[in-house]
Amino acid sequence: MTTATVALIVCAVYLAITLAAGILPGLKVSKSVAGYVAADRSMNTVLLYFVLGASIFSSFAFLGAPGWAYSRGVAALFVLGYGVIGMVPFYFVGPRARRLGERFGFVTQAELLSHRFQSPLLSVALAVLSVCAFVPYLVLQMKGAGLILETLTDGRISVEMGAAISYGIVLIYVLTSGVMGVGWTNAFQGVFMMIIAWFLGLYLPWKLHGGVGPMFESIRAERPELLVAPGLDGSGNPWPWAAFGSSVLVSGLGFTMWPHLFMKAYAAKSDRALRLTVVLYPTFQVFLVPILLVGFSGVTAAPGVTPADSILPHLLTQLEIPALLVGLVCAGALAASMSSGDSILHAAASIAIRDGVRPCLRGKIADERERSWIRWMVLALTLVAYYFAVVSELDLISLLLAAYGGVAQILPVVIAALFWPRANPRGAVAGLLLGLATNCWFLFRPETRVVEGLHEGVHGLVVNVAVLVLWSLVSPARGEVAERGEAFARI
Amino acid sequence: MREPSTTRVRPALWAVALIWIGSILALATPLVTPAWSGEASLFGLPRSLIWVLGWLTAMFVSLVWAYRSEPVDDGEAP
Repeated sequence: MTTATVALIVCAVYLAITLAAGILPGLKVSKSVAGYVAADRSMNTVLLYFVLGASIFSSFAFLGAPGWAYSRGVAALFVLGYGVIGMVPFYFVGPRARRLGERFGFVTQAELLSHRFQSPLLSVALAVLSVCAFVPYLVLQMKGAGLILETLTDGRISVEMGAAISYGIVLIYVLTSGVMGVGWTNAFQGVFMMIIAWFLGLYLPWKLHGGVGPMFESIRAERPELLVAPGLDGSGNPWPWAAFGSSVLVSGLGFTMWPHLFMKAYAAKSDRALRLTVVLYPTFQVFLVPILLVGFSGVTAAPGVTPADSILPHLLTQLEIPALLVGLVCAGALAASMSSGDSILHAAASIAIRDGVRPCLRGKIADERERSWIRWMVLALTLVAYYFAVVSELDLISLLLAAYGGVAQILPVVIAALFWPRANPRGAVAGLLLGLATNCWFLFRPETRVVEGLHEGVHGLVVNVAVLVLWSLVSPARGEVAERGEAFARI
Repeated sequence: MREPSTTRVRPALWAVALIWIGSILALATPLVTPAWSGEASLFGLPRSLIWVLGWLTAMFVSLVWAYRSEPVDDGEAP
């Protein structure tokens, strides 16, 4: 059998196991919205650990991060740096959000915030922001999955077909099992990814350079600029500290504000389970180190590879490694893509219905009908993302980068909702909207930034926090809103 | 089961908060640039990689301390 055939069989086995792991857990949860969206608030630490970890490590981690290390050197440490900062706020915010979800029945982030500030507008605004941020994210995962299968089969499976196969399977288990299917597949995919990442991260430097130390010695001799923090920018010039630092800051502060991560707090079965997940999270972060070593291993061994993101497939095809391993690596990359895509797809559909559609309808929707609408939305969003993945030429990378600054704007509202009873609802909404507007302004008009390279999200956060704080100091919340704020702060 | 101990929680949470702020200053600002911008290696690895991993380790240790100091108040094992 040829290498491609063996590798394809490995991927097919991986996809079959993923499908089974996704469908079976759905049989154990209730048929309610809480069961579909929040797993009946029953997730233990193991599932939460893999859901939070595997959701974040997308196809960017397997293809993009080595590409950054290869072409931009230690600038790639940006992804490790923001992970250090990112999870800590959830240690304090997560358990409180979980308890509020249990008491009031929340299953999304916007439900908590709109209830606290009595603002349906806030709910709809967050739904629009979330879906706008999620669709490009999902499209990139689909493209990544299609690309992996196309590369593996030398083009016999096209990108379109590859994306359709992998996300057809995602669609089946997300429709069937909801978040429980996402949880169990993420556990399987997470273990798989970690094993593959550590294998590659140690094997490639050893194979190409005789070890990790000699690899960095050779880079130091030939490309020392790659090892000087904060590394290089996309065009090969030194990356300004302002750009590096502000990217770490904005991505870190926005890390757990991504709605698909935040809403996993509602799925936790206890505060301790959630806290332990946060505590253990750095052990998942370390998984990025071997991924970066893969990129570094190509710097002197395979110079001039373009695009830089293809350095991993390039090294695999250049080295004579067993077909079985090629298949396992490709399956690992598929796992990275699908483990993020499923979580995003599930969250986007839940949020679109719960936070976007429901507040616009008068009267209560029956639980069964709402669950059905969410599942239809899963299907609709899959088709929309597939369209963008295979047809549209829209610049999705720019959209996704813009989304990071936008998502970070949710942090001040969440902190105010949970810890500051006198926060004014109008101040919170105005702060969020003006922060988003400022973020977009500096994204599209970078020449107007206060400091060259400073992330647009920092500008947005300054405006956001200033509006929220000043408005609340001048006109503190009163009456029922203030009482609700006190109750939220005490819980 | 450990006894709830509110006196032990506070310093552990302070440690988490201080290390978190420290990591922001260390990783997201150029205030301590000389500590990690050189190309010299430590243990065969780039100094910047050691710097980031050091902060990750400090954060992990402080979180473990904070977690172990938490009272068991929700009646469920994690």
